[in-house]
This record gives sequence, C-alpha cells and structure tokens, in this order.
Amino acid sequence: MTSFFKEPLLHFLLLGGALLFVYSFIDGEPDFVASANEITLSDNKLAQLTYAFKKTHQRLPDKNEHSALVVNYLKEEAAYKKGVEMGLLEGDALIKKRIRQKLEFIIEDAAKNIEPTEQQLSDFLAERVEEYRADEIFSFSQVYIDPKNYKQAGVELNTLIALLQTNEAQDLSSLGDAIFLQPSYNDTSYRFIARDFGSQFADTLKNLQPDMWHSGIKSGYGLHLVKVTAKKGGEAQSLDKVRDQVRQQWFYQQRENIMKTFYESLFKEYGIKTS
Amino acid sequence: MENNKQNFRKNMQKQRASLFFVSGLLLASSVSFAASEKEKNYSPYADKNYPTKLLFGETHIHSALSADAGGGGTTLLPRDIYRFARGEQVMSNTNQPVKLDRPLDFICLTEHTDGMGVITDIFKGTENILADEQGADYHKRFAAGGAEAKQASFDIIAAFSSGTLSKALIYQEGNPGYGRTWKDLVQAAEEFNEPHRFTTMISYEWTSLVKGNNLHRNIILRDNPDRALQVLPLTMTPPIGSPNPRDLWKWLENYETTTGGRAIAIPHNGNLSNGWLFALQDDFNNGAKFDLAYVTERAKWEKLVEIGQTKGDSETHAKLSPNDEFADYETWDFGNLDLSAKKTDDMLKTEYTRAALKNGLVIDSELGVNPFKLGFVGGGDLHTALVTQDDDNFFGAFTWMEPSEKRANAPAKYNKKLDIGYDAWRYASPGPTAVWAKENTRAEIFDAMKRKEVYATTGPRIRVRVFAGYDFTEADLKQRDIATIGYGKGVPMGGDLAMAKKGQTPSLLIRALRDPEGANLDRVQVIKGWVDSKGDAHEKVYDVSWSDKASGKRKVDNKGKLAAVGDTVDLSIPTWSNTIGSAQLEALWTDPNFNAAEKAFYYVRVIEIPTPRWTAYDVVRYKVTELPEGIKLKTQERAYTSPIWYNSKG
Repeated sequence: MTSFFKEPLLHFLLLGGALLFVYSFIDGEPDFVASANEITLSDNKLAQLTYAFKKTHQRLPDKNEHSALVVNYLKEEAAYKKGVEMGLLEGDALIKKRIRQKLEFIIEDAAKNIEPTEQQLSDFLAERVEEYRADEIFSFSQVYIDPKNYKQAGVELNTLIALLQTNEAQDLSSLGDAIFLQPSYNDTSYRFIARDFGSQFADTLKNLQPDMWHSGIKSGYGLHLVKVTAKKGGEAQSLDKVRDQVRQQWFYQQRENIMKTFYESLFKEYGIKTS
Repeated sequence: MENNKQNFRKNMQKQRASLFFVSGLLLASSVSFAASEKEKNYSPYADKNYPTKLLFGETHIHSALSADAGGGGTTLLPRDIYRFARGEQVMSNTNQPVKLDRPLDFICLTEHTDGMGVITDIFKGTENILADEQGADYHKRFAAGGAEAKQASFDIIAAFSSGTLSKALIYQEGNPGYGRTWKDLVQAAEEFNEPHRFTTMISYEWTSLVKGNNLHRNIILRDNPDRALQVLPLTMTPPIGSPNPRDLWKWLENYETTTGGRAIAIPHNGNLSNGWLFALQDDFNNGAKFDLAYVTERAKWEKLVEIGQTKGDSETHAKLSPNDEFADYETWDFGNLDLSAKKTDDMLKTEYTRAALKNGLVIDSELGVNPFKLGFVGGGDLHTALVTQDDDNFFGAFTWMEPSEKRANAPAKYNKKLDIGYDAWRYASPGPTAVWAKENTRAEIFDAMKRKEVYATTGPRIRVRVFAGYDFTEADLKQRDIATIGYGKGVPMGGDLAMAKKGQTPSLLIRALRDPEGANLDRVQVIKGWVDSKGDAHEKVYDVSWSDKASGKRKVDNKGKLAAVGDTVDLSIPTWSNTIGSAQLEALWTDPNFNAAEKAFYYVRVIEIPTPRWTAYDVVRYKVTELPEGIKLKTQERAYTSPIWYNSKG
C-alpha cells in the first residue's frame, strides 16, 4: 500500500468501509438463510465459493471439487452454528481476541505508511519535553551505616558527619560499616543508582545540594552519609539528539490514535448500552 | 610531568608483561591487573579495568511470532516485549494493564525458529499465505472464529506433525515469509537498542526436539544487523534444518567465518530432556562414544547453561544430591517436554547441571577437554512476551496462564495413558541473568557471557561476587573493595584456577548482598564437585556464611546441619519481614579437602529467607478458597554463580 492519503482519519474511514464490504462478502447474513436448525445455500454463496477457488487455482473447479467445496462450506456453517449454539463463541475469549487482532492488523497497516514531517516530530517532542530529558548523571561518595549495629544510629551519623566535614581527605572506605557497594560513583545514571541502592535513595539524590555531606539518607540497606560531587544531564534535548526515539514514539502514538478513532466509530456504530 | 607519565606507562607495561604470564594461565580472565598494584593511582577507583557494572536482563523470551505462543493466544509482538522490558506499561494478552517494578538492562528475544512468524501471517492474511490454498483456508477459518478457528489451530498442528502442511506454511530458510520475519525481528531489536541504557541482543531459539526430549538451545549474537542479516537462523526440521547439535555448531562456525561476528549457544531444560541434554554419548551418531572433535566443538560453542526457568529448576535433583537440603526446588520430574515418556531415575544424571559439571570433569580426565564446562544464566522462557520475574507480578508462562481467579487451580498438561502430568501452579516465576560487565552494550554483555562472568537468580536481584585464589587472607575479607583484591590475587566466577604449587590450597573470597528492594539472605554455600584418583565424581555442599553466625545464634549441629533461618511469611497479606536473615553475607572459605591432583569445580549458591510464592499472591488477590493438593505457597529464592574450575593435569 502506498501512502495515497496523508490524512490518517480519511484513510481509516475508507478502510473501515472496505472492511465492512469484505466482511459481508465473506460471511454476511444474506448469503444463507438459517432458521433455528436450517442452513440454506444461496446462489450468491455458490458463486463466491467458485470465485475463491478460481482465484487460487486459476481455473474453475470440476464436479468433484465443486461438491467438496459445497460440503465443506456446509460443514463449516453447521459446525459454526452448533458452536455458537453451544456457547463456544460467547465463552471463547481466545477466538474473540484473534478476530480483534486480525482487525487491528489491518488497521495498523494503514498507520505504517504515514511518514512524519520535521514539523510534526518537533511538535511531538515539544509536547513531551519531560520524557526526553537526558538521563540524570551523578557523581557522589557515600558512607554506610547499618542501624542494626548501633543503639543509636543517629549519634553515629553525627560523629561521622563531623569527621567528614572537618577532614576532607578521609579515606571513606574505612568509615562506617562495610557494604558490598562502591564508596564512590562516577558519572552514574539514575537508573544504575536506583538498582544498587533502591529507588528511594536515587530519588533523594536528585534534591541534595552538591559538595556537602548530608546525613541519614535512606537506602534499601540502611542509612548513608552522602556527598554529591557532580550532577549533570537532565537537560531538555534537541530533536537531533533524540530523533530515533521520538520517531519510534510518534509511530506508536499514531497507531494508538488510529485504534482509538477506530473503536470510537465502532462503538458509535453498534451503540453501547449498559444494563 | 610528561616524562613522569611516560615512565609510569613504561613501568605499567613491564608490570603488565610479567603479569601476562600469570593471566595466560588464568585463561578465562581477560582482565588487566593494572589496578591491583597499589603504588599507581592515589585513588583506588581510577582506571579500573575490570567489570564493575552489574546488569540484570532476560536471556529467554517469546512473542506471538513463536508459533506455540501465537497459536496459544499471545498477541504481543517483539516491539511490545521491548517496551515492556524497558519499563513501560502495556496491555497484556488478556487485556490487563501490566508494568514492571524495575526495568531490565538488557534482553535477548529468542523466538522459536521453526514456524517463526507463520501464525501471525495467517491471521494477517499476508500475500504469500493467501496465495496458498491451505494458507487461504486457515486464514479464512481463523477469521470465521468460533469452533472453526479453534479447529483450524489443531489442524495446523496435526498437518505439521503428519507432514501434510503446505510448503508455503513451513517457515524456514527458503520461504520468503521466514526471511521477512527474521528481518523484522532484527529491525525491531535495532529500533529499541539504546547502548548504555537498554540493550537488545539479536538472538533466537533453536528448538531441537527428539522423541519429545528437550534439546533446545538459545543462540545469542554479539553483533549488529549488518552481520545478523547476512544469515538466516537455523531451524530443526530436516532436510533444511536439523535437530543435531553438531549441525548447530556448524551453523555457528559458518556464522563466525562468513560474517566475522561472534555467537554463543545456551542449552536449557535438561530436566525435560529425559537424560538427553547432557548424555555421555552422541545420540545422533548411533550412540558413538565422544571423541576429541565432539567435545572440543561442544566446549567451543556451549559455555553456558540456563540453570532454571519457568519450567523448573535444573541445578540438581534431590535423588542426585540426597545430602543437599535445598536440592528439591521447583522440581519438574514428570517426564520429557511433551510428556510422551515418563521420567526414570537413571535419566537424572545426564540431564541436571551439577551432574553434568561432574561428568565434564570425568570426560576431561579421559579426553583432555571438558565438554560441560558451563557457566550459569537465568531465563524465563515465558510465552506471553511479558518478562515478569517477581512473584507479586507474575503473568504466567502462557497466555492461558495470565492472572485469573482460575489459574491457581488450572490443570496444565497431562498424559493420562502414562499417568503423568502437572498443573499450572508448578510453573515458577523465573529469574534474571546477572552480568558483570564493563558497559551495558551488546559487545560487553556478550563478552561477559563468553568468559562466564554471569550468574542466575530465581527472581530477586541478589548481588554476588566470588573469586578464587591461593593468597587471600582474612584481612582481604575486611577490605571494602573486594573486586580489586579479587581480580588482583585471583580469578572471578567463570574462571580457571592456576595449578596449585606444593603446599597451596585454594580459597574463595565471597560477598553477597540482597536485592535492595527484596528479602534478606539466609546463607551462602559453596558447592564443590571433584573427581578422585579412581575416576569417580563426588559433590559436597558447604555452608560458608549465614545470618547470626557471629552472634552464635545459628549453629551447625553435630550432624553438620545448620539451623534453619526461620520463616516470617504471613500468607494472609501475603508478605514477609526482614527481621531474620542478613542483608549482606561474606566469607573467606578455604577448601578443607583440597587435593592438588583432583580436578574440581566450585560454585556459590546464595539462599534467601522464605518469601511468598506467586501462588500465595493469587490466593489473596482472588480470594481462592480451594487449592490443589501439594501446591507450594512459599519459596526460598536463590542465586547460582558460574563455577570456577581447578584443572589438575591428572
């Protein structure tokens, strides 16, 4: 499919129309008349069966093939009716989901053929500046206290912070309690810090004033004294820097939008009642 | 100043040269020892040239493109997998919103290659499918819905197994649909690969199944699309594909020589292979005895094993390790993968990992090469496209097993004739693969896998390092920075110890830290396997560190059994508390039974305190009142480090 319609909605509506046609062609009501326990084969349906055969075989079916087609069709309809009767269709979430998936595939194809303009991408980015900020990167040092080791962890923290404030050259790895994490982290992203210390600790780091020791910072393991020595990143990024990600998200959004419109129109078409 | 720097560099080079000899012996360790020499940098953290980043990822996951996933109702596709794994909320296959607590660092999407993409193409009705009579028929029947569509699913499977499936529907090399699917898979991986942030490895699963025995391998590439697209992944159906691992190794060899890329194969689910995965003969060559060529090739390509996943734990079996009280963990010993044959006890020793490691030492003594020298990875094998590793957020192994009030009681698979089978509750919530890497990139992750500096956990993000060497002291244990000492005086997990000089005994320097958002640790164990002078293999489990050890509250009794850690699980919520156990455990353990003439391996197992299993969360959230017999509601999660080997020249 080429992108002959740039306007997704128009494209979609036409597609919706085509879909309805396809569905009535495949198994629309008028093709067979069925009462509670009756299946009638219409001329229309017979023509369809022959046509489908011709399309795949490039010839008309012979007598045997023709009757096989008819028998197969009748089996299909009978089994289907029986299945519906037995409540298989109603209860079968799987089948419903498949039909829905198939429909969505068709709709999705429409979304794939739209190419965003430069303006669309930069507008898209402008609306989502927050999501595309550069990763926040921290350099920091930390001393760990395991509260279980002290009667009053607060007293220990006060002693340590006094020590750290007066003597900058302290060897951090000799202070506090041992923990299987590094005493210093250089240029480490928020994600990594959250992984090592827990997200609560990483969140706190964001708001600490740099170049001074802070006491009693909580992690998944206990309490820490923390000094942030450098903070960078977090800035809003230009389209050139995040083009791939923005494009990816733009397409995703288009798909979501088309789906949304599609379902809105379907709901309108069928009418939703709550009882 | 410049001069000083140059002198410094020269010195460094000299030191490196002398160290080169040592590191040559320590084969697997590609680490420079520069940072271990104290006089160089004042800052001990500058210029570290060993892996300091611990990454957690998934090495085994399927989307709807895998025929059994798509055929089973999974609708999520590769791009959905990536979105979810990097932390976004998605709608599950059964339309339930789902999001990860913490994003993954990397992921290997491993679709089954046989039939890869065909189910989704049939739904879609792609041109190649509609041009085929059978394809058009299936497409139509799926669209018809109801019982008809269900029957169509069965018919496809029946046609495939009876060999009557139309060629157009057999997606493998030579079928345009297969090539298109691979291209799209690679493309999807590329779109979502963000080096240093979220890495997508190009990979696939080669699904060898013989007589229902699971011989599957995951294939992971180091490379980018330029190389990956020069090949098509191997399938297992002859004549184009092959179920024989030797053909897989040929494929890998061919991949490396024609593209200049690198690849690795990771077997899994020995527990469902009925003794085949680590068989001691070549079952594809009339049971021929292993020869040097076979073991050399195997050792070259298969350096890792997936030690556990949703279909059970494959570390060891209680019958193989009767003295290991933690051996019976998420055990699946009913039969093979499709339950066409029952499991018998004699099969266990050639399918579980620990037994294979032991047999590897024996073969090494005979042939000089160890074909089962395997490091450990985790992995899920979930067919929902949703990597859910936490018990409080487990979305099941298949779409039918996504959260519902029914799943705790749902049956899974049965063979009534053989009277074997299992229920849904048996599936385990799987764990990540942890990687000690220098950076979060395809190349660095792959290289860490190849040197086996990786480990498996059963869910939680436990941090663990182990080094083996001859010169560790108690003072080293007190050092905060275990890595500098470990790399300086020993080898990391996955490595090889140098031969012991007279009077030398190896010791292990171990440190473990619990998940920052998880449960405390119960104990750290060392598992040793060795071969004696008669050629018999043995194993022993040592408790080397545990909570409340120093205070003496938990003791080892006169039978050598360590007192249990206790249990704080409250099933009514469900929750647990970290009032027992320890956040961190460490040990310097010296092998008390070392014999320099005996080949051996050592690996570390870290055990958590008891926590609620996923089934316990279901019971509370769905108010399930009746439960199947034998259902497990608690678990003791663990981490398994890759082993370190001692290779005596015996």
